[in-house]
Amino acid sequence: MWSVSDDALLAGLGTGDPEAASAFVRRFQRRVFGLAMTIVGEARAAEDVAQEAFLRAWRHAGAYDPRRGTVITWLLTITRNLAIDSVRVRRPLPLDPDAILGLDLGGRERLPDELATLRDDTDRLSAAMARLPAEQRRALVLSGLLGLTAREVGEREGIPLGTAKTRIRTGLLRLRAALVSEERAE
Amino acid sequence: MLTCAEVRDLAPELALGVLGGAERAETLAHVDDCVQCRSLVGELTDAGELLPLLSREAEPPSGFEDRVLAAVGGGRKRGRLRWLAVVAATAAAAAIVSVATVRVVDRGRDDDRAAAVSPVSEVNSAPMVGAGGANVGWAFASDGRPSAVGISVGYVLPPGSYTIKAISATGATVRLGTMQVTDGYGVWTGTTKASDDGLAVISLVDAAGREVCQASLI
Ligand SMILES: [Zn+2]
Repeated sequence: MWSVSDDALLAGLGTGDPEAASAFVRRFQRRVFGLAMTIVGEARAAEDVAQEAFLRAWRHAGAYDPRRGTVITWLLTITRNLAIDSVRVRRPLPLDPDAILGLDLGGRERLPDELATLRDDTDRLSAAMARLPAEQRRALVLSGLLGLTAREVGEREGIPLGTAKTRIRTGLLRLRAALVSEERAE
Repeated sequence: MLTCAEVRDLAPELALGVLGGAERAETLAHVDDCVQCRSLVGELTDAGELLPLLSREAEPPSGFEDRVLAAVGGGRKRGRLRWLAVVAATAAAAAIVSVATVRVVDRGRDDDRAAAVSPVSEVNSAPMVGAGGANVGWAFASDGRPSAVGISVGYVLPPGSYTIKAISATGATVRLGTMQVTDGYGVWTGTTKASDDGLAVISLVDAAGREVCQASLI
């Protein structure tokens, strides 16, 4: 059986084909909108961000390079950057970082193959995150997900800039090491 | 010019996309020239880009899909490319020529989730890249021998007749056929027995013998 891969769907979106565009939006809208909501915190603004993310994916489909990452990480990076830009001026207080990681993987509907693979990746990622010390995990969520600079992380956590930088760097390196070693173990 | 130590200090923020203005530009300039720092930033970026995957999913407001599609459709002629039709034709041709059952499944629709069929056949896709790296369309090819091929171009190619050339993974070149481009749009589907080991490159050659675009399938 052959199913339309994420890459092929993005290809179709890039050509402006309505069927491909529709399938692409249906496949990814919950993730894109969910991320936008997490960062922006308000449905109306999150919808604007999510819509713009899909439009950029359509316009820049040709710039997607499968060697550099999956379609979903590419799309979520676009979404994240748009969402961060949209709250740059008057940022609301971020939610409790640990609450953001309340993954609800079990409740999803039957998943396509690609998303099943993705869920494995996400599971490995969240397992690696769970093994980090809480303060490093919070620093990564604040910076990597919500877009705070090290200085802003320091202010929010009430710690010196140098400490904030160390938490971000150490957390990121540990995450990387955990994901690479699991890849090798397979 | 920043030192390696300064760049290592800023690398995590660069990787997470939160470094602003001048610092970002200076760090990028250093990373361009320094292999060690580039490799560090690359590793940190690989890990950092996965973080958004951890966000919760959420149902968008009703009508969201329609609004996105209206915006996409409003920006370009609709319905000319019929991309999915090209993929479907490629998949169907693959089924005919290889006796494998190939199905185009839109996984977003429940009614398409029928029983799985086998054996497996894959259709690869790759962008057709033209002058200056511009994406002018897409090529699809099934695995197996013969291989089914689909091509759609939808951008800026001048009207006319183009020869479709394929190169197999072992380097053998074969002419697949001719594609007409009208109004900047062209579609072609067919099959080839060219390769034992799959198609590596598909390209379009114009009447003057110039290769105008190509897709790398492996
Ligand atoms: Zn350096």
